[in-house]
Amino acid sequence: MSDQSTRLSQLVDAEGGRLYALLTRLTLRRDVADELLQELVVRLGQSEGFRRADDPLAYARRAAIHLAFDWRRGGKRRRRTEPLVEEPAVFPPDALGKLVDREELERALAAMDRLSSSSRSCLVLHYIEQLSYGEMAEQLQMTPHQVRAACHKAIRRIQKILGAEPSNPAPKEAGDE
Amino acid sequence: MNSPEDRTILRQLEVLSRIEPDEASARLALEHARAAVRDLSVATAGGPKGHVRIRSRLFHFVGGLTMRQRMAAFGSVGVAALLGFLLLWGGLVEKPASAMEKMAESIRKAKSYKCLQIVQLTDDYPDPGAPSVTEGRYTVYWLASGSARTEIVHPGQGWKGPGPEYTQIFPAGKPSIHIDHRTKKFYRYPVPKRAPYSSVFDDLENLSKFSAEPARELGTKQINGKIARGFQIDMKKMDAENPEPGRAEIWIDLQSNLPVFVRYEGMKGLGCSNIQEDRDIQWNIDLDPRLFDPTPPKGYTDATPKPPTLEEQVRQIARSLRIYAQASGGRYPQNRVNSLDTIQDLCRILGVVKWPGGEEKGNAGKAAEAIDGFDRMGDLLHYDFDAAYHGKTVTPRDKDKVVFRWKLDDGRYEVIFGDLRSETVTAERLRKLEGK
Repeated sequence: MSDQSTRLSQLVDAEGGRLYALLTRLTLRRDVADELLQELVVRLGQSEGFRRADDPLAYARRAAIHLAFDWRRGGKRRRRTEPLVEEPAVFPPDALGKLVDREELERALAAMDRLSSSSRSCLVLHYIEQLSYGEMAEQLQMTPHQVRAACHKAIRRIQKILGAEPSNPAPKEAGDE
Repeated sequence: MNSPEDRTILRQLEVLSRIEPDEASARLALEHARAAVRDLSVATAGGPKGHVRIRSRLFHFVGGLTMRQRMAAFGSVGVAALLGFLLLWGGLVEKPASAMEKMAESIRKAKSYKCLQIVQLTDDYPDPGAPSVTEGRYTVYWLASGSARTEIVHPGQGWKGPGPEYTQIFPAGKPSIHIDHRTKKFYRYPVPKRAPYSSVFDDLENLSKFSAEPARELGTKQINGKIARGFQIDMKKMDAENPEPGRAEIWIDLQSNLPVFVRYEGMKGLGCSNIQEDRDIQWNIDLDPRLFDPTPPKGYTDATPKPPTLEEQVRQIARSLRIYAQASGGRYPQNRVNSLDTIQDLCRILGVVKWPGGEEKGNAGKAAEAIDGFDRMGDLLHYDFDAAYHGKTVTPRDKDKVVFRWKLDDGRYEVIFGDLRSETVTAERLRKLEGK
């Protein structure tokens, strides 16, 4: 087994569950998250950046975010096989989970797709993956206060995007049929 | 202060963060991923090719030298290092750590400060058509009394001026004002409980505490007519609480021991990087007090979000506390009060469950009714409204004890008692009520 494969194997063993959870949160589909995790492994295996990355998880996490939003953007049209039954993500079992429905989350994720890559990463890492500003600064190579500013800016932007089209749900994509 | 729209998106993100795949699907996905790794290692047996690291190239070069050439090369490096060491050891120059300490002390004694701060962010994955490098220019004014002002321009992003795109004014101990010159609107914000009021000033505060050894010396040069000595420092050492990767270059005026130029460079990689330079730094200059006057320009519209009326605030807070106490068997929230944490806590107490099996339990509606009041309490505690929460010691049975209070604009206090009655009282009466 090459060094790259060993590195990848260790990452999947140690952090595969976290990456799968992240992909599930961003796609709201377990079957899609499963497929994207495999695609992520293949891409990382061929990536010189991953080979050189000081923090393989941070690199993989960022690549997973790109993959998930690429899928949301229409990449799912390219999927070779479609499942007969969609496997939706499991919503949190509490009141907050009840107060926010799937359609709202789809809209929020579609709005996130319209942010710049760095803003999107900030939102995902801080609010969804719940990393601290300090941890994110390490991964994004920014200062914590820049990360904090970027997160606030991203919230403003996403709020503006959602406010501009309050009743427009995210456009339906092929895989949702 | 978070607006209702902010809270909506924050709640949506919070729900996303708590979506967990079930164990069976996670196990299956991991098996698929491991199979993909195995397939990949078969396909790429022999390892990646064609990548030669710089370090390898260096050793390849050294390996190509004759033994005499190698001795000469390493000998020169060794002699230079020994000379440098002797120079430092001999005390021919001031020790760097001491120079840093002097700088920190001089900053702490400074009365005022002005500089041009340029922040350049590089995004390797910009939006289609957007530039990969963006720049923000902040003219920063600061007074030791605690007042500050920033004027912000983003060159190349359509603003034609005159003047800055935004102005932020933070008068000491008073509400701040954020002025948007593009839309001719302004927003007022309450006084936060503690500085720094803006991240622009974090670095200055960090430098005023810095005393660690620099990574290396950069020599001396003339900057803005002053002879300055340069040091490179590891940014991780600048802020022990929030260590961050990267390096800073600081040039210190030999006469005043104050920085005249600072450059922060975040480490590159992973799609984005940043460089910040503090230029044209002027210390201890006279700054016009009008710079810190928070009066908005004539003709600008006040776009500050309006808080609910006092009666509405009291009603919301009392309702939230009542719901919590009823759910928890007669206790008010025991931890810090804010929207997300307290509501989450309340959900847990109410036993609100809708998964697995789709069967609903608990009372999600009650939790939703409590959100506004806890939001408001969180805001009052965050900003400087002299708010205090005594829920750890006060229960619904303590009808004469204060469970929550905050200061009103007229100097009096709004008080909510343990039995959730409310009253507007003077500061003196509050002291008696709180047993001080």
